[in-house]
Amino acid sequence: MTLLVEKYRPKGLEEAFFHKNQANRLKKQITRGKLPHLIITGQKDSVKQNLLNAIASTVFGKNYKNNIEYCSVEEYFSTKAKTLREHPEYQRYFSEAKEEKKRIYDKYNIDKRAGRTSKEEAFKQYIKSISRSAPVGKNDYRLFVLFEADRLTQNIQNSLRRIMENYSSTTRYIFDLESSENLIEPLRSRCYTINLSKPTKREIKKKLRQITKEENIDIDEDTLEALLYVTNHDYLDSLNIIDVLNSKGKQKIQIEDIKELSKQISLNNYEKSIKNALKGETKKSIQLIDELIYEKNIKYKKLIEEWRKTIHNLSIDSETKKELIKKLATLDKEIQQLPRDPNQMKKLGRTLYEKYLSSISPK
Amino acid sequence: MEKSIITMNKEEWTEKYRPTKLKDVVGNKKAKKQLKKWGDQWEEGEPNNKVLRLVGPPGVGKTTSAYALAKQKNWQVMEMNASDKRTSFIVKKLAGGAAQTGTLSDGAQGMRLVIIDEADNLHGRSDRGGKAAITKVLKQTNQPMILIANDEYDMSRGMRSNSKKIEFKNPNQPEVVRALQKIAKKEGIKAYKNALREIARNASGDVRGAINDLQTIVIQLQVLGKEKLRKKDVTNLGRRDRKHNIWKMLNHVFRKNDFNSLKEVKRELDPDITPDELLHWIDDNIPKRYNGNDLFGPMKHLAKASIYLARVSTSGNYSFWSYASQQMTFGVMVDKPKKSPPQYNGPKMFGRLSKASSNQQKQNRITRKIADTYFYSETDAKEQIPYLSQILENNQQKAVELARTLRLDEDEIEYLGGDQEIYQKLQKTNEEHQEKQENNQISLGDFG
Ligand SMILES: Nc1ncnc2c1ncn2[C@@H]1O[C@H](COP(=O)(O)OP(=O)(O)OP(=O)(O)O)[C@@H](O)[C@H]1O
Ligand SMILES: [Mg+2]
Repeated sequence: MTLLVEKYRPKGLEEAFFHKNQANRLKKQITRGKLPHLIITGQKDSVKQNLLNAIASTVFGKNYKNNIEYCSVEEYFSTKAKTLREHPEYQRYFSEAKEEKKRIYDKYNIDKRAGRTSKEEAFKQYIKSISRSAPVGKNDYRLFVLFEADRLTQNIQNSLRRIMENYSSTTRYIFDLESSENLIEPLRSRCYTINLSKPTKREIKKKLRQITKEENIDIDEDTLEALLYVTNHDYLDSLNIIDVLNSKGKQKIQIEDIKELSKQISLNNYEKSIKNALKGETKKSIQLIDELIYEKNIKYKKLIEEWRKTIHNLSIDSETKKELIKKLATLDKEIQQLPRDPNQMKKLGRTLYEKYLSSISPK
Repeated sequence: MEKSIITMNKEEWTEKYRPTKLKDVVGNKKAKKQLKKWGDQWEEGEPNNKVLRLVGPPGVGKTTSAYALAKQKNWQVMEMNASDKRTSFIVKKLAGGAAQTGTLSDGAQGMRLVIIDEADNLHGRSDRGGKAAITKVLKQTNQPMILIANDEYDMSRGMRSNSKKIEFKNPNQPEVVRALQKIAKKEGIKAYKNALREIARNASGDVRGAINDLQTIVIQLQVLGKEKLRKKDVTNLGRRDRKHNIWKMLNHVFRKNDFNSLKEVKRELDPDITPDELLHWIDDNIPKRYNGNDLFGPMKHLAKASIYLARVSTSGNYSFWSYASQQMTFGVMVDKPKKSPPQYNGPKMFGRLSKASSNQQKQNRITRKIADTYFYSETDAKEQIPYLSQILENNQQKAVELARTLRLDEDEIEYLGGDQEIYQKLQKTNEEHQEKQENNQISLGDFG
């Protein structure tokens, strides 16, 4: 027994139920013997991870884990250097990078101390080490997946130009990001780009129907509609909600259950905060966001994304909507100006969303 | 059900332990005695002074004592805030008709105490009608009334001459320690007396401030996993004259509109506080009464100040500090919606951040395990946590299997809201599994 989102992932490209065209094309490329380096773009709700899983299974079979390496660039760079230095996975790259620097200084007789390794230097070292390692079993190559590659610094991207060429016979790279604009042109030209859009409502519904049937879960049409509304047509969130309610022993899922659950997991904090602010209950609305930022550790990026979706779905006149979106863009810009350090961001960001929420409150 | 990811918002100790009996209000013996005597007089008929004014510095028990008296006397309470526009309407109405039993006691049995808090901040100082009306009510009332203020000279003359003064003073150090000890005991905290003494000394008689400091320090200690509160943990507390100056500053920003005197206060305070810290003092003490679009004026400037502070930290250029600090003081003062007393809390940002980081550590460990097991990015894995925790709370069988798949340890199971049984079952099935394997080996050995 596992999570439904996991159980119903395609176990190969031929099983893909979203993005079938892209999956077919990739399948052909793989059978011809060569998977290109890939850039996969799409928002969070494009269900990218299913396609990635299908690629890995098709290339390596069931035990694909031995031959792939993956990391979240976003998480890496928003973690404090101090924490990374003790991180079970990254720790060694800090010392390796230092050794390497020392070696080079020695070699060229440079009279300098190697000093402290920065996050960026350690990450370069990590990329190099991974790229160098040989594939396991009878495979010719390994996969190296960089999640949220938008966050790769220019410097690292540039160093990847050579690394990709040097190790391309044994390592294939996959860059996962929201939009390829954040990658430098030379990297883009080395990769085949796949743009994934969000699955259509029909596709999502069809799949959910199939799953609930197989799992013997009763959910009627109206309830399914309500579920999709609550999750903004997000496939993974919808399936997770079904999973939770089923785990609670509900054979038949009711609209009330969905409402109650979305309250419990603060899924509705986003919507409620905007609605409260529009009603002039700004302090309540600020509290809801405090909870997301300081207890759940939600990132500002997600906050803004969710607010944007919420506002789109609100039933208010289009003038007001435009106004809310415009102000949200300002908030986004302001947040971009904050230091990247997560602690600093949390410390200085609060007044920014307070300002936003009070600015949309009625006079 | 609530306990899982959201560790409940900690209640503020000042509210949780607000004394409900006069005898639990520390210090201020004389004031309490006068108050009690006045209360007793009402039982024997109408006393000469039907209106009291409680005057004294913040956080020494004025509001608390008024309520405690009412409770002891079984009086109902009607509280009005002088700076609330409605108050003056209500009062005018009362003044028009009879401010007597009928209206004030709302037809209810027994006495009703009317408390007018923040009486030094009567809504719209220019509201002559309002002032006159209040004075009239004070003169006519046949019900007990209490006016409360920090500064009696900010009260109208009519209020002063129609009430009897009871002065509240800062309790002394041992008295404050007594209040702290009580709370520490109820919270089950082991605190050395010299540590509490240090907190009390630092607060100089501000009981509310001392309790807030105690709570802040205890949260910090808990985050660090320490069990006892020692004197050396009581560091980094703002000095009390510093705190006094901060309050003066808050008062000037929110309660007045005097550019020059704010400048003066700011000059005194500046060497003692970084704009970074001041920002949170101001942000967390915005008057209770501002809500909705009212908040926008002050927030506009605080947001600007934050951006300047961000620049300091990204560019290392400290000249932005002065812009930041001007925004948050003069800016807010000029653009506030109305004069209103600030709250008097220490900044809560530290507590928020430490909660965030202790949650973060646990979340990160779980996130990494999800990411490793399911080939997810850590960002996507994080999205799974709330659902996972719902399942762990509600379905034991599934919980055990998930805990095994994800290799969750006892702490992590607990963080996700699962109970101990899950972990025990997990261990048991692990052992069985091992036994089976051993048995298999033995049998293989037998036949081999
Ligand atoms: N003398 C005291 N004894 C015990 N606790 C006190 C005392 N004074 C204040 N406190 C604590 O501080 C909190 C605030 O006190 P209170 O509201 O009575 O202050 P106040 O004098 O009315 O201040 P302000 O002028 O700011 O309104 C109370 O809830 C209580 O926890
Ligand atoms: Mg008070």
